[in-house]
Amino acid sequence: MQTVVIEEATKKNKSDAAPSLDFAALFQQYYPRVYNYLRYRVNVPEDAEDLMSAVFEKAYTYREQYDPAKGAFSTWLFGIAHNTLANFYRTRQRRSVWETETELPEDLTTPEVSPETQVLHQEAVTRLLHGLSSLGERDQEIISLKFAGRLSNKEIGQIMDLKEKTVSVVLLRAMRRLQKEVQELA
Amino acid sequence: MNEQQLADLFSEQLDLLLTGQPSVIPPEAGDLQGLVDLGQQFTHVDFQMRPAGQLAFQHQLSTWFGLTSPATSTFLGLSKVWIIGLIFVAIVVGSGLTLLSVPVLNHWIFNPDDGPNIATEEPASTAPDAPAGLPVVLPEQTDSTAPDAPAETTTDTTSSEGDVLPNVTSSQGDIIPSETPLPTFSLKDSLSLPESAPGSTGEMTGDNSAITGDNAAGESGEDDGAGNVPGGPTKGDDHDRGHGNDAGGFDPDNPGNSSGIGGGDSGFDLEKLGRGDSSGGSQGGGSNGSDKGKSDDKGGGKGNSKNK
Repeated sequence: MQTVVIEEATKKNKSDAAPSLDFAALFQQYYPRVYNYLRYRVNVPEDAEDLMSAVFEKAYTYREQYDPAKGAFSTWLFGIAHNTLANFYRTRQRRSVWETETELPEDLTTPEVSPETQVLHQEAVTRLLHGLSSLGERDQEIISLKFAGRLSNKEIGQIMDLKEKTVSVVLLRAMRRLQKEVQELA
Repeated sequence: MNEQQLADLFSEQLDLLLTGQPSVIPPEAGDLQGLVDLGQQFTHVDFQMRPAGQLAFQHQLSTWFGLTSPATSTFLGLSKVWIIGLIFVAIVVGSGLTLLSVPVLNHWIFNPDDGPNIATEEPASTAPDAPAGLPVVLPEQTDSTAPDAPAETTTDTTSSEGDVLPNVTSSQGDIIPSETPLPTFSLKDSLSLPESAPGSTGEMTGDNSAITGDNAAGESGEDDGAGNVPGGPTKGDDHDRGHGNDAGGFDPDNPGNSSGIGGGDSGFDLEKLGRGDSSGGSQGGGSNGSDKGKSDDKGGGKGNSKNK
């Protein structure tokens, strides 16, 4: 899962421009990444699953409106996820999902390492997620789209309505703030 | 390096990091290496949907796109639908074979003699062992006078119905199987003829006068002049029909068959017939050729009726 890269997505996006798209296969391919992105922003797995179901239901309903000439399928799909998540926050009036989270989530996968390393990894991830939750909405969103969605700066710019160069700068600043938060948590 | 250059460099390094390639941070990048290390920690933060959530999502996809659910159970690579269909077809075929086998088994069990009977009927009618060029000898024809025909001996047999049946043996020694079911023929009459008139099997040719001499003796006055043979088909003025052995095509009732075997000259002599004394003996011998004489005889040919 981690090996899925942006270049791979770009190649796939070129194939998405085919006249007839296999939406079933595309949904199968992209749903892990969408779920990972939603979990970066939502601390409850059930909420993330409900959000993902809502995202793909919208994608299925409006699949005929997708135009490959206007952008990649990943951009279109993560755009739906971005808007769905914004509506979710607006309805619940919750700014961050990791504010009160103190334990490692159950659905978080850990690498196959020694128990000691795994403990260190879990502590690092916990600090990382708490630091992420302390960031602003745009910082959280751009970091989530970059690492969880594994999108390029161009795709992130299309989703967040930003220029590619601006995305690079915003991402750099967000990472500096996150680094500061993590250091404070440590 | 200004902020934009650092941001572009950082984004490039992150893309390399996400592709699994090692990132190379130039020394002038400043604190960029620490940010890349922080980004590398994110590559280990990966959430996976719970199994229940995955099943729900797969079910949703199958509902939308009609995909086969991975939870569908199969047996030997066949789905339930195929297995049920195969079982149904097997049941139907088995039932059909059972229904078909019942009457056949009943036939074999309750009629065990049908098989052998069928086998014996066929060679009797076709006489496959008869020599080539020779006519098939039917039971009716065995008593006809045929001097040029191959020597044949008849052995009477009695069928289950009481009819006397001949076993015909050809000159080559081949035994022609007997016909058991020939209910349309009255074999008893024709087969008994040789005994009643021994001279009819060859001795009668040219010796009609001797036979008629017996007849002329008037011993057979009891005869009605027509029924020479008990149970015989002809009576009185009735002409013989169907034998067709009348030599020279003389029989007006059966002219087309008058060239048959054994027609001979016996009984054909109109002059002798005219005397009325020769027909009786010849008819008693069963010679078909003499039937003409018999039928024309109305008075003197009564003597042979005593024979049988």
